Amino acid sequence: MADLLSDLETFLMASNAVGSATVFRDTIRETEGMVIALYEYMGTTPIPQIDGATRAVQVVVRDKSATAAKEKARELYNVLAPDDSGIKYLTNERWCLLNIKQPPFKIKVDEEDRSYYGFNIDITTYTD
Amino acid sequence: MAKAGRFGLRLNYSEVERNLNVVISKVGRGTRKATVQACEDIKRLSLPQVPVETGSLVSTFYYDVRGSSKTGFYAELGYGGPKDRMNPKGKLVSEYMVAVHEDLSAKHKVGKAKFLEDPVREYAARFGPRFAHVIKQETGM
Repeated sequence: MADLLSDLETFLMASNAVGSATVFRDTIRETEGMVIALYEYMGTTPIPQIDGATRAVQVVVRDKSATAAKEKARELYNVLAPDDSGIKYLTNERWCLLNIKQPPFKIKVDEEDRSYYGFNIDITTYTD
Repeated sequence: MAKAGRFGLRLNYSEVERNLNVVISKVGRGTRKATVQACEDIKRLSLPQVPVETGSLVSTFYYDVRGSSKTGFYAELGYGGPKDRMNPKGKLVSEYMVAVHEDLSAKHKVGKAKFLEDPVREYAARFGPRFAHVIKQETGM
């Protein structure tokens, strides 16, 4: 069974929203071009009744162009926005309830003048 | 065969109302107290997690409890806000606090990202029992 970030990456790849960007999970490395980083951080709230938990995930886009980073973050945000049922299947197995905490916002500009845009999501799903 | 009987009940409504108002006022006072307590508890959890470079960010923690028994109480808490200030490097705390809070890739000698969100999440599970405890203390019920 793959872990949550791996399933999230699979889902984003399948949606074609990733494009030519490089995706990292739980880290961000030095590489040319646009980068998408997926992090899972603390903030887990266990839900024993369903053997699951609400897990905190951050999606970050880094690019030399602030506009491009912002637009890509918006594209990923739109792909992840839940429909009326609120339930999404990231893979055939991975069901989840997504609660996007806010629209993409500017996190920072680094020393190399690259912009970071991101947003946070609460994902209720099974544990792995 | 049972005989018909009479049953009398005298209710002093003004006394019932007065007692209810006392309880309602105690619940209100307890709710405010529990909200302030929650802010203090979150502050205690959050401060050790704040990355420290100049010490300015950590010094700007604030909370403000507003409302009344009628409207309900709510608290705003965070860093910067009304306590925003210039650090020794000439930058306002509000200019960099979002980056410090949200940048999960940053390495810090002291503290970490999500220094407010994580404590709030951690505390959320404890809030119900803590709230009930304060109300019980306040009302004696």
